[in-house]
Amino acid sequence: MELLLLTFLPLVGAFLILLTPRAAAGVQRGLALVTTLAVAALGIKLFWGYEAGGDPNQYLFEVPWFSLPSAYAAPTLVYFRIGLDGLSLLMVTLTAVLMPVVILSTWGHVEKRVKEFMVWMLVMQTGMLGTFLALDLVLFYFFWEISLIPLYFLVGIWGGERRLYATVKFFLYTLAGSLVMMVAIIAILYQHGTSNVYDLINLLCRLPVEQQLWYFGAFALAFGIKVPLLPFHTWLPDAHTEAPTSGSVVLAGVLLKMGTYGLLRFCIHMLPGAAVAASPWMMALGAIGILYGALLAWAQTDLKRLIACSSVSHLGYVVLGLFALTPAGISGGMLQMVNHGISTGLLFLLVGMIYERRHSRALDAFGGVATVMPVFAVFWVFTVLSSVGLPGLNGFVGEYLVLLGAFQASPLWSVVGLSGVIFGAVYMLMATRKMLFGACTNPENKKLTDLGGREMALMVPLVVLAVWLGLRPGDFTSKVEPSLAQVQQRILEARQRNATASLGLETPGTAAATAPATNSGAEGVAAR
Amino acid sequence: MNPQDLLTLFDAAAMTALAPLIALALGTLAVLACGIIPGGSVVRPIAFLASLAAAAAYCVKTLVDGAPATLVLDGTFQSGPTTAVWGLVFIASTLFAWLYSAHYYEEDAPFKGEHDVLMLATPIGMMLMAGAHDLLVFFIGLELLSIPLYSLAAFRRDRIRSIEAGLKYFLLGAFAAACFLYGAALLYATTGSLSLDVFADPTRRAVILDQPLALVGVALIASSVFFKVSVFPFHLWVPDVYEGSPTPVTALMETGTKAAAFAFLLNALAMLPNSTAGSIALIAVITMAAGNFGALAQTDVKRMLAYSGIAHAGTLLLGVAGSLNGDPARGGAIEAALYYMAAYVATAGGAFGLLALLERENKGTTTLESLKGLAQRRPVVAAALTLFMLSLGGIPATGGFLGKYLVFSVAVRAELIPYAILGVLLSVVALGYYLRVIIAMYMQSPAEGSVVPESRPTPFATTLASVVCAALVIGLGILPRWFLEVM
Amino acid sequence: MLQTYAPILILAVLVAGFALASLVLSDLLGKKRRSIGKADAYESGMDPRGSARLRLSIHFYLVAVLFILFDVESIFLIPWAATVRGLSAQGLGPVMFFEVLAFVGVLALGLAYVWRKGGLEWDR
Repeated sequence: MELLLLTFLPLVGAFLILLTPRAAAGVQRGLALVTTLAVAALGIKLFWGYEAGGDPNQYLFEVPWFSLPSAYAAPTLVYFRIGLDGLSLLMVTLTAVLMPVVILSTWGHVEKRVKEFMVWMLVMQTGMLGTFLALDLVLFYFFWEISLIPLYFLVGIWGGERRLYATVKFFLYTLAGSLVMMVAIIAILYQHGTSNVYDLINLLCRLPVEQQLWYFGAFALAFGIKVPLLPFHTWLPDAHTEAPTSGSVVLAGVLLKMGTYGLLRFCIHMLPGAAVAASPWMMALGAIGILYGALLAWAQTDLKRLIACSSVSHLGYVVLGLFALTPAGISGGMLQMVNHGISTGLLFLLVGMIYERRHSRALDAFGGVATVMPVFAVFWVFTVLSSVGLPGLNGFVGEYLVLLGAFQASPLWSVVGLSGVIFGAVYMLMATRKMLFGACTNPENKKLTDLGGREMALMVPLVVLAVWLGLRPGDFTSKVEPSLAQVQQRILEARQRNATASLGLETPGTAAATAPATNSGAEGVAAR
Repeated sequence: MNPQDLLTLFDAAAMTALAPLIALALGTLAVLACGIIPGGSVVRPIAFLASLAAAAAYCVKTLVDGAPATLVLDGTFQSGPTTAVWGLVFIASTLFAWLYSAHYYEEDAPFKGEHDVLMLATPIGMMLMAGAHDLLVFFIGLELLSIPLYSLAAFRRDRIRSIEAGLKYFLLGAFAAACFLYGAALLYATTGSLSLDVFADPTRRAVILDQPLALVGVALIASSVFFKVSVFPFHLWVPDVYEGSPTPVTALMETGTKAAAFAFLLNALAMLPNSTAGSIALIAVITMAAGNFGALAQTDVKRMLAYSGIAHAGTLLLGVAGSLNGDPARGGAIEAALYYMAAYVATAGGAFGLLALLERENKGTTTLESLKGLAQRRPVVAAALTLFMLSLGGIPATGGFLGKYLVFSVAVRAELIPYAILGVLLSVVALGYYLRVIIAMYMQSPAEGSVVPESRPTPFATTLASVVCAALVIGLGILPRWFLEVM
Repeated sequence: MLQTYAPILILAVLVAGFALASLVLSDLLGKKRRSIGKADAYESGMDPRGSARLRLSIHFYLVAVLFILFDVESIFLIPWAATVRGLSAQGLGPVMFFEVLAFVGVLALGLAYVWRKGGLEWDR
């Protein structure tokens, strides 16, 4: 029930806001803030109460939803099934905590059509929370696509000059991937007679690798576009650049994580055989993404675009870590998802704040800002250091674990990724120097006012998190470790299975697996 | 047949199957009579609604009784739950079109009586088509549907585009009807029967489908039905006719006619050789491409929706192809098509209905340009239109999604996976133009110097129909259970 | 077997003979007055020269359509008339009666409609 409340509380808030008159912007802002704060409180409570390695169905909420035809006598029953486990815990908490910050940040830059804005923000939160919590394949797909629409509106209405181009590109790119995933979901549901994610995790890992690879390809396409992985990354800089600050923060902080979360939950956990087989390729994509994103960012003159490109690079770490398929790599990837949400979220917030004052994001327009905005400079430098992975701050632990894990799996791609760390420091510090330091020559910059109380306050939670994660990452990783160990177990089994299969040995796990495995699944469903 | 048996033809099962048809026929006569009796214009809407309600009640009764599907009237007509659900779909389609037409014809208001008579006659034809188990019964249904629609298409006599639409629809429709008759004649020549029964027995079916003459007949019949559902390459009439016709009539053609023709196609599936599954899937994908890319180039929303209708026909045809490929999936195909069309009736009906409303406000234009800034002018209308666009695009939480899901799952199960993937990718193209409508409404402001139309109060009938359509779209999207279980 | 068709043959001969005879006889017996007008190609009373896009009064079409509508219905009445006696003898009389009553009733409603709407008035 708690999860149900968590997921739909934002929707209730959105509904309440819909009822207010259009002119009452203050009321709408207040309502949105109160709602998200309540969700955040609930999220933190859940995080606190979550018992690592406890009953996996601790928070499970399920009701039968509808049935779909299947290959068996009994139709596939689709459930409205949400639950919390180690794979989703951090993402859910991040989503819940980040939203009030985002809402608070809109005070500065959303003046027109406040009502619609707040409604879409809250609908988006429901979509994101639902995506992370869904434990039914069809429900997951539902939330996955629904969370597209709000961002489409946020960028399209409140975005910058080329907002229409950016928003349509974002929508169609993501949709193309997810529709291919839909075909895979159709096939899985029909063949295995269940849409329960946990059941499927047990069933699909026993399929022959070739078949797993087909599913893997379809899922990885959808998630890879969302992350975005290298060949599909071009929508991201556009969307980030044109989005309003708050949109960028949510996009970087949470929406992109839906892609990496999907990779972990479905591509790795559900299809371990294919993940093992595809691991070198995915690691290559991740490592090249790190390097390419860093080089892209280096070449940017627009601050926001620079951070967007750095996002491509940082998410490359996540993919590299996850697909190293080693314990260190996966926990590192997991941590890095959270870190990126915090650091990049902060960066976008800061860029938004300076844009609100200066109405420019061009790097050349700045210089010597530190002298007129010392508080801003402090926050900025802190954030940059956390982003480039200074030991003691959040970025370091994640990056270290990822590179360690990747090194165990493939030294080559680990080294490529490592070079990305260096480039990352280079472009971030160069941008910082250009913007903050040197002589303040431009008269416009002299008139800038420093951050106000609201702006500082909204960043404080993220700063605290960054330090906490940097100093005591164990507080967070210990909660998720048991779940990650299960993933690890699957990977080990898959490795053995793949090895025996390549030796040409018949094992119960490979050739004969499909029929009995799927049948038992169908019976399981029917029995329920 | 013994003359005495004439009476036994009309047994209880037959009367149950015919009751909705009779209710509609009596209603049509009553609406006609309203034109010549004093005070008729007051009674007319009541008669119209009462007749639709009675027909719907009989359909619901069939569903509640849960009698299994049987053939009645000497094996020429199917009675049973499937026909009843189709009937409800047609009734809904007519109801929406009629509600939206209530305030549409301002200058032609004196002829509203004739309009209503013609409109009420169409669901009779649709039900005959959906239930037909005999080629002649289907033909009568086809004509009963088409002839009123020819006149309705040309109903705005003051507009040259409307007359063009009527004439085009009539000429091509007549041609298609002739094709059908010729095909039926050839089939009769080879099988000696007009009943679909001859295809029921597998061995006999194989023998029949081995004869070139019968195949030509089947091809002619199929092309005639394809014409009605606007499948490539028989789709070229659609944009002109749909754009020129009065908007509520377009809604009726887009939803009801298409549903009826698909209902027959699924009934008569045994007519098509199984080996055609691949080519029909190919045609389906080409149809989707033709519709979607055609729509992409449009600046007029009504014409765009006409093209999108072609694409939707292609999607459904993919389901048909899937059900040809392997027998077990067939039940799923009818279910999927029913769901798809039910959602489509609410979605396209609502979309066209709101267009009719806006057309009236914008002095007869339905261009994208005229929609700019609508979200500020009329937020509720814009929100509803957005919902319909998203449903047409198949986004979850709308009926369009589950319809698409079910149809594609028929194709996937029949191992037409490459076609299914092509199909879903083409529906990304579709989102490209549905989004343009949303962009115009929400993200663009009216061009400088353009006259902002004065907002008139929305007629009650339009509000009612839109609310029902929107509720259906959302209901079918998030609570599909009741509908799936009815089937 | 072909004998069954003998009446048709006779009818055909009679029809052809009558048509031929009327043409020949009228040509032989009739008085001939030649004029320019009569030498023209005969086009249903229309002037064969000039633009072919003549505007004809809608009344012609209206009358033609109404005539065909009600004329064609007689096709259904004749078979009814031919079978009613035999079927009545088998006890189907009431059915036959109400059946035709419904049919004629629909027709009558249509006629009343046309009448009331002024479809039968030439000058309106």
